Amino acid sequence: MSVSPMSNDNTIPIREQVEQALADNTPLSIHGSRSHDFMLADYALPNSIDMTTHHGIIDYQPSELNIKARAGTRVADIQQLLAEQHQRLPTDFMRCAPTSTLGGSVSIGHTGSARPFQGAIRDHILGAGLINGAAEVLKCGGQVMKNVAGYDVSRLLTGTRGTLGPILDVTLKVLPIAESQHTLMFESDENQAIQAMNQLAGQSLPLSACIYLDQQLYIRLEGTESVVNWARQQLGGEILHQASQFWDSIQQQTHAFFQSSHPLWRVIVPATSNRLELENHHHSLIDWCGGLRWVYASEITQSDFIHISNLGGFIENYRAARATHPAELMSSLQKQMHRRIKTAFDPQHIFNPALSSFE
Amino acid sequence: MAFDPLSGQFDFNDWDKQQVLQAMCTFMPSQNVLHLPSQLGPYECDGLSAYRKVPKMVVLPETIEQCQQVVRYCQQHSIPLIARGAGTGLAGGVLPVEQAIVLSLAKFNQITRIDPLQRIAIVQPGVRNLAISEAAAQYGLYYAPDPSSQIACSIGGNVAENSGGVHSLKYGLTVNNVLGLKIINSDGELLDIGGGECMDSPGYDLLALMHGSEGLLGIIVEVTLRLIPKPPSAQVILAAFNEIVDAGKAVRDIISGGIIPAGLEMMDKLAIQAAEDFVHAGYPLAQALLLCELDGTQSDIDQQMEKVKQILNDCNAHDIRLSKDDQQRALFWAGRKAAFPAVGRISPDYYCMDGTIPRQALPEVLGQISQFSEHYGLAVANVFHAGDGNLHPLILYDANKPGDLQKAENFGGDILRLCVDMGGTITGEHGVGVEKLDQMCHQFQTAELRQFHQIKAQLDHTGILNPGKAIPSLHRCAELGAMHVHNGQLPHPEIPRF
Repeated sequence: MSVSPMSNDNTIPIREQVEQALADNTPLSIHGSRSHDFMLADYALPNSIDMTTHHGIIDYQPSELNIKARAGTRVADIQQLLAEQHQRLPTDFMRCAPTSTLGGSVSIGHTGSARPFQGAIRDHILGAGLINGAAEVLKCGGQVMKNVAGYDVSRLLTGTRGTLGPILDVTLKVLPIAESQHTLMFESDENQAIQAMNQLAGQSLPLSACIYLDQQLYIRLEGTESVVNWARQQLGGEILHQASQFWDSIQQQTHAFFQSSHPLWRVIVPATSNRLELENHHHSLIDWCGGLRWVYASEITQSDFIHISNLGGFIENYRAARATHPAELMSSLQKQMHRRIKTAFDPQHIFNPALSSFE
Repeated sequence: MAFDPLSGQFDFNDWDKQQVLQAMCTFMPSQNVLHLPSQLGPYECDGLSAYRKVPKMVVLPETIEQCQQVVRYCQQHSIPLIARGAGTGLAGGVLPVEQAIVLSLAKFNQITRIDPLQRIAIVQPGVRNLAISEAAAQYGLYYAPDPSSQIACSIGGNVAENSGGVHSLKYGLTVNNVLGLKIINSDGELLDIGGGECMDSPGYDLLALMHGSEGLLGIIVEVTLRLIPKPPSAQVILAAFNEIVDAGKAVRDIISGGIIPAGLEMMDKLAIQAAEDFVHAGYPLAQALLLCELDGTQSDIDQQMEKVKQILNDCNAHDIRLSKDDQQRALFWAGRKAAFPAVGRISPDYYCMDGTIPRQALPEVLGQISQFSEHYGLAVANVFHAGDGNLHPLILYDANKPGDLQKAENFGGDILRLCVDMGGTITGEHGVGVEKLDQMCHQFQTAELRQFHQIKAQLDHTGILNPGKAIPSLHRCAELGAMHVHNGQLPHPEIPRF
């Protein structure tokens, strides 16, 4: 497929900006559409690289099941292009704004509801381009499904939030759009729902999402017509109409649940953990079959942190108040390993040193 | 200096065997420290038996603490350390190097816990791949990645090499099926990588970095795996073609038709004949054979199988057979799964390659391979994970014939460079080890190789963990470049040569 006419290759100016920052020893922050400013605004620097100007599809071969696009390409544009070929992104991308970019999605690394069934965004990254802290352009990975040559730097970039350098482009695996999709609803209490989601996920059913909100368990089925119909008969429940709008509203956080102005926390726990007994907890949405809990709580106390940590999970402030620095969630050895990786890519610590201090 | 982080070169001093032996015996029972020539033979190579070197010492710790003590001692005394799983790797990833101690994880062979509701297994690294699925079967679950050596290969080795298998097209590689690791770093410290029982972890994706790192960045001592429900049914369709190009088209059309088979495999004429003579699977005579497995509920399979049949017919398949039951399905697969040993019966030696290419390049690449075959005067049998573009050409040679091994290696090198030039890679699932170091110089530029060395230098600053594997030194690439000047363009021109 030919290169999109709306494309713009800004590799050279971005590289020059990095070179200049290195020469001046001035730290740089890197941003996409700024859809996650609620998490990252504290770390924004006056000297920044705007990746939204570096955009466009570089290569798309539907029969090869992959797409390569520049980091500033909007996720929505990629989805539209794929849909024209009856294909889709390989899993749900969280997309907090219509302008969300591919590079931003990878560098934040938050996957939507399909995570337990279709994998995380990182699972589908085949390759990536990066400018490191020596202002070198690196080509990591490739465009083929299997590739174990060299360290897996392209997947490592997931969740780095620009601290190892600007991601120039990403090659993603893509998948055919399923023939049929239906969502079933069941009334349930929270612990029963968590149990049911995990029991269902252990059976051979065409599930692609299980979430729980306001006493309702939502089960999304996806596959061929015949298997989805078979699963509907097996499971019963009530059909949710206009289901695709519902799921979009979860991935895009436009659903009423996400509109509250209270502090919102992102809690990661083992999927089978029972209802979280947090001290100031007042409303939650359970995603990822129980593995992700969106929780509104005015405050998270020390005993809450200990409770989550004892479960083997972690909790981060997602929206409102001060965002959680990743280093706050790590052991001292994990912080040390992050510092070493950071130094390997960016020895002068030019890329957002505050966000990647890991002290 | 024992290790130069910028070039990746190393030079370790000799050490006193008695002194080291004494130290190791304070860390673990003396029967777990092997040092006599009669004990060391089995550790001289892995599945790439063309390269052999008897190690000076092998240790078999039984606990994480014992592993930590060995690592700390080796770091303190600058002794290279090679972590070894089942030794089934095909790229020489655990080939002993001068002065190295081999740390075998064979005694870490316990499945610690299976949680059927959460669909995870926590296992020690020496557990065999297949043993995990066998243990999970009682819950209707299994571990998806299935390298052909799954009966023997260990899960720690699978992580170190990021192993794939016949079903990776639909179910992913090892990296897609592991949730967490416990590793010992080069300082001997134990740390958790990844989410463990959770589906996310804060910070960088260190879990991905560890996959395929071939024992250069840490020693894996525990693995948390994702288990998935076993599909209720599976069926294989077999199709024979008179033209390899037609089989290639069928692969493309199946994938672009929106079907993701559980497995999609191809064999060429020589591989078909060898497999048929060996296991009598009843394969038809053909230039190419395609095996396509679909899994799921029976109605799902029936619906998709109709589409597959139509595509195969449209692509001129002359013999199409659908497995009637699990017994016949196993028979259809038997030939493919036995292809490597089958080829081993028709040639004194074979050299197995592992390039990956974009699927659409298949006909061109197979055409080129057949030209190389004529040029070198060596036959080649092609076995191919067609669905994900992963080629396994088996080059037939005779190690007893002077010059044959060198010819086979040169032939293999040409195939791998061709894969890179077609937009692919030199290794899809076997890893680089010592085997593909030269081809790494073709796949990567200096900046990327230097970045790899910087990662290694940061995470293993004394360079003791499996030195000399996976990432070639920059000098090696420069020297190699000097030997392969193409159109006057010197690869890696920025590196000084002397």
